[in-house]
Amino acid sequence: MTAGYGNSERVVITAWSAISPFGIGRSPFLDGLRSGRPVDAPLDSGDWPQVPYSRACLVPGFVPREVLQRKGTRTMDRMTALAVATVGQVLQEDLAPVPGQDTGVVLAVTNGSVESVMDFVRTSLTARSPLHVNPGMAPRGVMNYAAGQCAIWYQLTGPNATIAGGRTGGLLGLNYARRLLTRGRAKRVLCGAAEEFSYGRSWVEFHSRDDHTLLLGEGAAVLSLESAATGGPELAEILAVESRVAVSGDFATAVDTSVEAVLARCGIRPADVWSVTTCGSRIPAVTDILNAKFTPAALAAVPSADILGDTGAVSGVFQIAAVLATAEQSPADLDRIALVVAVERDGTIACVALRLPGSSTDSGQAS
Amino acid sequence: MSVQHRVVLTGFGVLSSIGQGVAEFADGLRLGRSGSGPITAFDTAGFERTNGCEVAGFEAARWIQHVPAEQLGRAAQFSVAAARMAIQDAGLTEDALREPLGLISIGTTDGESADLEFLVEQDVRGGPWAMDRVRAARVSAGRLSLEVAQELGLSRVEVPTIGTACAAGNYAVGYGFDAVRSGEVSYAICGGADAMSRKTFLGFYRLGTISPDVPRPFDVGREGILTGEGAGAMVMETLESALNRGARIYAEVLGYALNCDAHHPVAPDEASIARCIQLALKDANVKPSEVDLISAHGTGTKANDVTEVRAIRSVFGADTPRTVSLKSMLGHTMGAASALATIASALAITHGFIPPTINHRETDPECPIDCVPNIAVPADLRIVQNNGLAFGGNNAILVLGRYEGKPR
Repeated sequence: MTAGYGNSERVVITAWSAISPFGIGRSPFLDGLRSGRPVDAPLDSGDWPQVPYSRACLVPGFVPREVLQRKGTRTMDRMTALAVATVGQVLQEDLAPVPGQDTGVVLAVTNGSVESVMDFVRTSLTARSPLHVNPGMAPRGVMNYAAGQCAIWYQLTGPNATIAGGRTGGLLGLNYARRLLTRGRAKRVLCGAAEEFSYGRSWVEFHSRDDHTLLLGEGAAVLSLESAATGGPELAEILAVESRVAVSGDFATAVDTSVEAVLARCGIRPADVWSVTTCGSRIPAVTDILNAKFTPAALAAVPSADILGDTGAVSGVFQIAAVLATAEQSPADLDRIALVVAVERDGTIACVALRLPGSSTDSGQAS
Repeated sequence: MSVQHRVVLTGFGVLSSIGQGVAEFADGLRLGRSGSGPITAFDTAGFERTNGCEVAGFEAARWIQHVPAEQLGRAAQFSVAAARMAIQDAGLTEDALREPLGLISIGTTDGESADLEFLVEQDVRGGPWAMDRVRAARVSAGRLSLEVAQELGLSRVEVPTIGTACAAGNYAVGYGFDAVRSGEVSYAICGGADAMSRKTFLGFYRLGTISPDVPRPFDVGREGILTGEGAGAMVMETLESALNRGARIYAEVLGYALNCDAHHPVAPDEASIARCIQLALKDANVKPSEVDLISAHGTGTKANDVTEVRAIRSVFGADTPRTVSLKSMLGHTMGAASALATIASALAITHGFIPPTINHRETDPECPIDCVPNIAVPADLRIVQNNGLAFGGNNAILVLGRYEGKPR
């Protein structure tokens, strides 16, 4: 198989980390995924007196000041702290550092920290004067605050972008990052997503859903992407990313055509696929199409990151992390192909194909 | 990077405080129209400074035919309407866009934050159970791009919304450029959209950057910005495609660059902006001496104007081209700002004039540039640079050229 974009540069994942309801960092993620232990827990009514849910999947023990160990966390919202801390972990994992001016950041979000926006406005509406708000809190109500803070924290002066695409945002961001690299606009891109549990997000989600079976989750996950030419370790290659819109709710056509387009770009058949997983919204038409197209073994090869709850924009990146974790824990001689299909009930589908290099393959070469 | 298509702009859709549609917008730019006026979008009681730049008389139903109106917040209504205008202006129908692969990417600062603000008001009055379900369901910022596809019935498209604040429009146009240039998509509909937001007004107000009357970029007496709203959308396609179908070409996108100050959440950084300009000119294969006009970010705050002009002068020196601020007319339209400025830059090239920096009385000695005060001037423009700078130190600079047959 080959990367699906003609002669353009191959893009590979060289490191990753996650701060998730499994815990802080890569190893709790690996352990949690292997054990499949549930991470939902009752919400402490003292901490969360007035949210519409009694249970959620929160990151345990995440206190920004403790994790980041630096001044400057006071005005940080939880989502930004999750993003900044996760980027820090990836930078520690990365064995072949790239200079900050060649390093970009691409962060997928749904709306940024809706709690920051709502809290700022609420303070203005309820104070004696509408002006009685802390101006220091204004910047964090802007969607790109988290990505900007990641750059400031680690001096990353390459392209810095915030991608909003709901539950497909993680994969749309991945494609954005891939294009930055293939167009030579960065040598490394830290590409991920972040989402926080909050009063504001819980109520917006509560009022916009009919189905409440998937509990709200939170966290951040970040991949380090580089051109293969940079020579870093190659955990996986991004072969193709394709996205479609479910026009007027036609998810069946959208998922079928996005998956077929990815397979065509890679020159492979469904039978060649080691793993297929979905993430994001649960839409029966999507499941039906994938069940018909792929083998039960492929559908079961990698656990679903749904166990972490509805993690919004992060769901796609958590699912890629689940693929990487599973591949790492069960190595194979030959290359394997994994598809991740992200679904947003608003009407978008995105599909990525990853090549996981086998131990008998020269890691620098696609077969 | 084997394939390198040339990328051209062939259709524009505009919603702005100085005109709707390309023709009205071009007239407004040429006449130096002011979009400033009292804010009506939200209650300004308790504020001493109460002006903004709103889009008056927007008729959503004229442009939005398929997606139910209540499914769209005002920002998505803007993006969808501007996109439909753009494809009409390009002489395209949605049928022609159904088969080829496309990219729809709209930049925004606030998404549907006006809806979020409404939910907060309901919460304050009646508790969280009183929040409106219809508004809650439409606040996801991704819908600004997605709903364009829904309205036009386009499935074979990728729909990332770009949330990089006040430079988001240039980010989106840059993304369209990369996707079309490499041949990965056949066309892109890109731009930016934002609606008036109490949160944004309040934020700028408390940072001390709202003007009492009008914005006066580069003026010694400037007192800040006015927040505004609007949308700019454009059709981007390969030169080959435009020539094959006999499309009018407004301008060619020559290149762009992105970088990040990594310095301060709100204060701009001179050296970093200068580097972004140099990267953009290099990407476009343009020498500084070839740039005929700069459309500045030009917010009209001292922090922005002085820093931005210093950065420009550090690259262009004594040869600094005329440098204008469209925000003097449009206010600061946030994520729409650099998209509207891209369109204005292309119209300036097409029609041979430089839009003025209005409300200008006396140029700040710390901003030693010719900002083309108050009255448009005729000019033969070949290359225009469009600056977009954002909170977070996110810089995005685009370079447009007049389409002249032979490649640069």
